[in-house]
Amino acid sequence: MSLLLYCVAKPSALQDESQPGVAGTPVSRIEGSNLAAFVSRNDHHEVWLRTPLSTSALEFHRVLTGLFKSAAIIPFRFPTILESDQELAELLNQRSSEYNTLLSKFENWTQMEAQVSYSNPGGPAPTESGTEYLLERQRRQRTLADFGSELGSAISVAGEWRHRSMKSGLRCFALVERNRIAQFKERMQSISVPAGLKVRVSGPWPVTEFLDPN
Amino acid sequence: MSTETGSMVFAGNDLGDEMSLLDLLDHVLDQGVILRGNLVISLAGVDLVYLGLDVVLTSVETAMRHITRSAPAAAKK
Repeated sequence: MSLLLYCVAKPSALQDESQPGVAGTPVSRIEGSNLAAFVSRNDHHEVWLRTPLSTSALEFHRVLTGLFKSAAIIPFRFPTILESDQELAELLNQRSSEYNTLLSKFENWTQMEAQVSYSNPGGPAPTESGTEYLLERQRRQRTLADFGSELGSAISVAGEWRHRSMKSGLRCFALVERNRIAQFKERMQSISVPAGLKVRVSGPWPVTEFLDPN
Repeated sequence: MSTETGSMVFAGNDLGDEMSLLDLLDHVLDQGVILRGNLVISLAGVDLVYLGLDVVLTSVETAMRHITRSAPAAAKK
């Protein structure tokens, strides 16, 4: 019997029993090692990987969102499939200390995300010379980097702020307390975005980017 | 000097006016804990979880097409 693993949470996490899992398979709670794991069971794991895969991924997301409303969760990447309950029990036993530490640490926290990208992702407009083109490209990169730093220092409501450089721009992550999400959004709204850049703010998401054991 | 400014949009964490399918898929497929060594997602011998979003989508769907054409046992680890 295969298990599709959605997430782990503290045993106090509330589950909406009416929320079906991926491919309509029921979501079960399995407790062990002071953790609650949420899984679906099926004899054939292929059922969770049916095409189009995006449908299964969205169903997976809905289960996570439902659980995240009531508690901190540690989500697993879709599709994480275990072979048996025994394998899950071993996992919970092995990682109990790490997961319990993380769940306590992020009990009241969420992750907000800001994706900063160029308004014109195709690159600088064509110029008369190669030098001009390179200078314009440099200017774009500097604007992006400066704005990323400015965001981090301006968002004082964030407990922590990290960013990663992406091909399309910057991906910024902020740790924000559940009761300060509105404040975070207000603060973001007050920031002036430089010409040539666009920002997409999303969340609250379960904390994933800050799941360092220490 | 241009006085034009950039733009900022806000989205939630569910499909809505401003939330794209790609945002959600990115979080489900590219965020979250990876269990090294505990996964049974080696369809067609490909460790899907370590691949990028686009490749995952393509690889799984290609693999599933292969599976449906082959014997069901071929999908097992």
